Amino acid sequence: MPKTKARFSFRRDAFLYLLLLLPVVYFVLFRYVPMYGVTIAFKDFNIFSGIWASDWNGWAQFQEIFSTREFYQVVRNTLVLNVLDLVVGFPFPLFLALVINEVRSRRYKKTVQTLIYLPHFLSWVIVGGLVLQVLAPDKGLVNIVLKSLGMAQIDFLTNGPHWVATYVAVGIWQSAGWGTILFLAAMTGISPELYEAAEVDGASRWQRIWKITVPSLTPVIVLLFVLQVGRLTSISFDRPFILGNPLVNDYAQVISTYVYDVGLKSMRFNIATAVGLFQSLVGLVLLLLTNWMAERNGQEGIYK
Amino acid sequence: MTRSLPDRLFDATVAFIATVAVLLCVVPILNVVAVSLSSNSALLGSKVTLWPVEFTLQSYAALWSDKSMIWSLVYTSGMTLLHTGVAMALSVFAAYALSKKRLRGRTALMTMIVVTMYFGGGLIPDYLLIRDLKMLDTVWALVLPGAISVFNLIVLKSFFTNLPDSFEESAVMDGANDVQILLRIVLPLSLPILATISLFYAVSRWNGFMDALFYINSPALYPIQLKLYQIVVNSTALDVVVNEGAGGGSMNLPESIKAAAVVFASVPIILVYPWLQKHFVKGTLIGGIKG
Amino acid sequence: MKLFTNVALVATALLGFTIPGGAQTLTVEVFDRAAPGYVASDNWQTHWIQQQVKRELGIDVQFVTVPRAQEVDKLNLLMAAGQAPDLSFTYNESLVANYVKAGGLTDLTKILPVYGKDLVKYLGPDLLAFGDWGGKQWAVPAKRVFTGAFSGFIRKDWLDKLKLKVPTTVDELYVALKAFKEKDPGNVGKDKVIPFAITVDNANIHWTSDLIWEAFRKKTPEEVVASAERWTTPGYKDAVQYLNKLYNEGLLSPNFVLDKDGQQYIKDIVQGNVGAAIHNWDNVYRPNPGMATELAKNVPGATFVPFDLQNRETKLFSKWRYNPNGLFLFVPKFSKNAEAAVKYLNWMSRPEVLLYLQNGKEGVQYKSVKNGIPVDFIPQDKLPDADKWNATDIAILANGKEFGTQDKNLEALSLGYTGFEPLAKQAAAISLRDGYASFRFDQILSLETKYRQTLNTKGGEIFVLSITAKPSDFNKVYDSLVKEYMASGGKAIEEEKVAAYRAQIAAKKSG
Repeated sequence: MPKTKARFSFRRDAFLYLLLLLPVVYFVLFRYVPMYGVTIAFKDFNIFSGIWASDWNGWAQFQEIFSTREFYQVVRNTLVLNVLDLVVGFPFPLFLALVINEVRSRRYKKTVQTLIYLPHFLSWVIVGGLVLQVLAPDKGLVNIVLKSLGMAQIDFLTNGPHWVATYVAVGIWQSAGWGTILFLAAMTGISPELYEAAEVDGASRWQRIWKITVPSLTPVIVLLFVLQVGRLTSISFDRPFILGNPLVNDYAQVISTYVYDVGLKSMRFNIATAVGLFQSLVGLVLLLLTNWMAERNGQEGIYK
Repeated sequence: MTRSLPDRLFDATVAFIATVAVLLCVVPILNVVAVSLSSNSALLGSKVTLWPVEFTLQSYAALWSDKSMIWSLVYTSGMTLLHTGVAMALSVFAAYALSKKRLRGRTALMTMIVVTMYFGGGLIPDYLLIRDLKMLDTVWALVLPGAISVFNLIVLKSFFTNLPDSFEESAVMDGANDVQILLRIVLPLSLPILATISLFYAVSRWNGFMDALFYINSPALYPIQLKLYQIVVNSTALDVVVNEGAGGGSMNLPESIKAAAVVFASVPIILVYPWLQKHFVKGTLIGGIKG
Repeated sequence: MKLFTNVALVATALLGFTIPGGAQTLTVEVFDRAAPGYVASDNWQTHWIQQQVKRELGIDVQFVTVPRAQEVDKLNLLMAAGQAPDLSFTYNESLVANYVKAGGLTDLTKILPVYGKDLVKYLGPDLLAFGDWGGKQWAVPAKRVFTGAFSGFIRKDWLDKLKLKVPTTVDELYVALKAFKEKDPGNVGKDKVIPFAITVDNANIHWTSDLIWEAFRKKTPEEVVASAERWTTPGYKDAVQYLNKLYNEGLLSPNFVLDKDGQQYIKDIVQGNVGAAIHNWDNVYRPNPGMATELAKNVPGATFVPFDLQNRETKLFSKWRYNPNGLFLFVPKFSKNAEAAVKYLNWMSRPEVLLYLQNGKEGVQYKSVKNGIPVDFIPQDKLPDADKWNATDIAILANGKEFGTQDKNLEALSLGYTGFEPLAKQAAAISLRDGYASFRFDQILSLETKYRQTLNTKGGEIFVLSITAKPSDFNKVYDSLVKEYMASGGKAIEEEKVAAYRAQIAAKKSG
């Protein structure tokens, strides 16, 4: 019996390795071959000499970034905004997916599913204009409504802490609908019999969600959470740049806008690469740490 | 069929929340559409909110009459399909293989893959590679470099891992070979997630244009979003005015054309999801059979 | 047989010598602005150029498109990959300086006098100096035909109603703005009227207020003018304080901070709410977006007339204006066709070539000729695709229409503003009056390129926070922010510039 099994598993494994052939070629060719570019962070990079021929200058770039006050400010801002996005924004797609899943009319369900991901398709330039129309002081839609109700207007975009809330809210608006797709797909795999049995047992709709749907989604939830923690050090450029303005610089200057100013616009690629390396290292550590913690708690992480 | 009061209350709450969400998402879109259908004078007069003012199809006509726009739509669709096909094939192969716990070297492979989520060469080495592979200014520069997204790979792998082993084991005992197991058992069971990940790849390719900016020179091979980006950004850039100075002859494009371009480039891909939803249902049916 | 083959061999050899051997190729950059229906590298202008240049110079020209929106990034990449066109260009001076510093450009000093005689004559030594760093000619600067930048604009109909003159000093301007707010001559609504409209652009913070800055500037030696940062220039703080006063009295656009792309500014003007503004001299009269025309439609009788502001000390109408250079044209070091590039530019500098490329054909691109100047240009969107054209990106030697003499150029300029010619002419004259350009350093200033971007961001903060501060807090806010600014590289740049200035003046004296 064991002999058959061993031969069996080798053959089966061979098939798996065959499947992995092309993907591995992909990773080696398109991801690992260009990786020598990280050395730019340690060089006095001259675009004409090229990466190989440019002179090494050790940790000079890192010394420079770590000795500027702005760097710590932008790291702080990046972490604050990302943590808020995670804590406040993460539950929204799940919540929405649960709500949509409970919609009785199948037609309405399909309609809702199709409409709520529309904001994902708007480029940030357009979103910036929309945000201005809605949230501007005096003329913005929301403030007009507030004033007509006799309330004071709110400076959504020009007051620091308010700006942070606006940033997170706009982010949720733009991405929550899109985020439901993955959860809804996962929910289709839950056997309807489980629900029927629970109904027979007298469980309320709410209990059914809490005791059946959510637990079935736990692997996906944990996975997405771990991956998002791994992205705490990286931040998109468009959202803070488009929504920001000089009055809220103290909150809105983040790593991506910093790299844009100091690295790319000043044509100092080595600084840009050095900051990127810093982000990557911290991000990877965060990912592996969170993954380990999840696995210790009996959950599936990225390896399982 | 009478429903209990708590049940009806629940349904009402659900419907209410869903409706609020829909309104919040749709109303701003209505504004964009309205802008694309309004005259320039109305826009400068800030008269447009949710409904077109001084209705005109001028902007769409301008876009439609630009043959390169139509061509770009067709070309981008084809390119997106190609990319999605390649990406799904590679991702499914890798995810399936990596989902098998018995695979030797699995952890090492996963780590090496995860590393690529964080570390990469950067624009210049990537560009040089594409150049040396003679893919510059070809469709392949847009299809191949992004063929596997590690995020998508991890999600796919997680779903494959969570499929019950019973199906595979009984198929093995029935004498099915590996290819048959993959094609006839695993994939049909995974239709919802396959449809989802395909959607992710397709949308990401459709919306992305930064790589095309650098790898593509011939305007004929520009993805539609790149053309859109240039239309939206080019016209009002202050630095254009600052550097090039005053004086007529500039090709300035009005706000309504920008909005029309957004709608024009988004409609095709927005229609893909409803079409894919059919496959979600299919997957459920099969899931029901498995019991 | 042998004789025949020998004769054949000799014949082909002779023929080979008589036919010009292997035409030279030249790749030339061209901007792509995503204009619908127009292909930047393949249109009647590029065809004509290719035809002419092949015939007269034996050079095969190929155009390489670079998207205007990301031209710096794309050009950097092309340079890094050794694929940039033989003749490349950019408006970004620090980019060129960086290329020079990195040793990436071809030195044209010896090539120009040989292959570019007409070119050198057209540009002149003063202009050519703008492409000279460290004594070598690294770039060929295009000619900026019109160097005026700014003018003020004010509502004549409102002034007339209030029986006020067009202001010529900041004090008179203040009186007018105050009256606009309190008396609301346009019946716009006291809370909606915007006496003075501004916008914020970090990289060009003075763009909508230049005349005010210059009115407050104190007289300083040229060394200070050349080296001082904006925030430490004597007199400029007073200008910001003036703006702070305007803001706190409700005389400025209330949400100027949020208007990053200038769209709100345009809407405010078109809807008739704005009393005055400072911008490019033709800003209001431009046919596109057509602010003056739209305004006249919305508010009959509304007109903007240009105004100018006097410096408090010198009584001159000082203002910033452009340097005489426009685009920077250069040849990468790895290119093998530097001579061909210079020959190309030399050919283009001929008046008839520039005229044709900048104007097109009579009856096709423009309808008639007045005083020797083409007029009545047909708008691009009304032209059939095959006839669409672009002057700025094809005729790269000149920014603005070139007709040979200053007067003709001015005349041609104002003709571009149908319906507003006299006002446009007035604004153009204002923009030139007492204008001064930034000092041009003939060495590369490495600290400038290193710090300028971050300093611009900080400068935007100084501008916005000082103006919106309470008047009693103004000094505190301004001074503390400027201190930070100077410590983050501002002081270093000033010191570098002072040293460079002194070296340059000394060299000029001795050399």
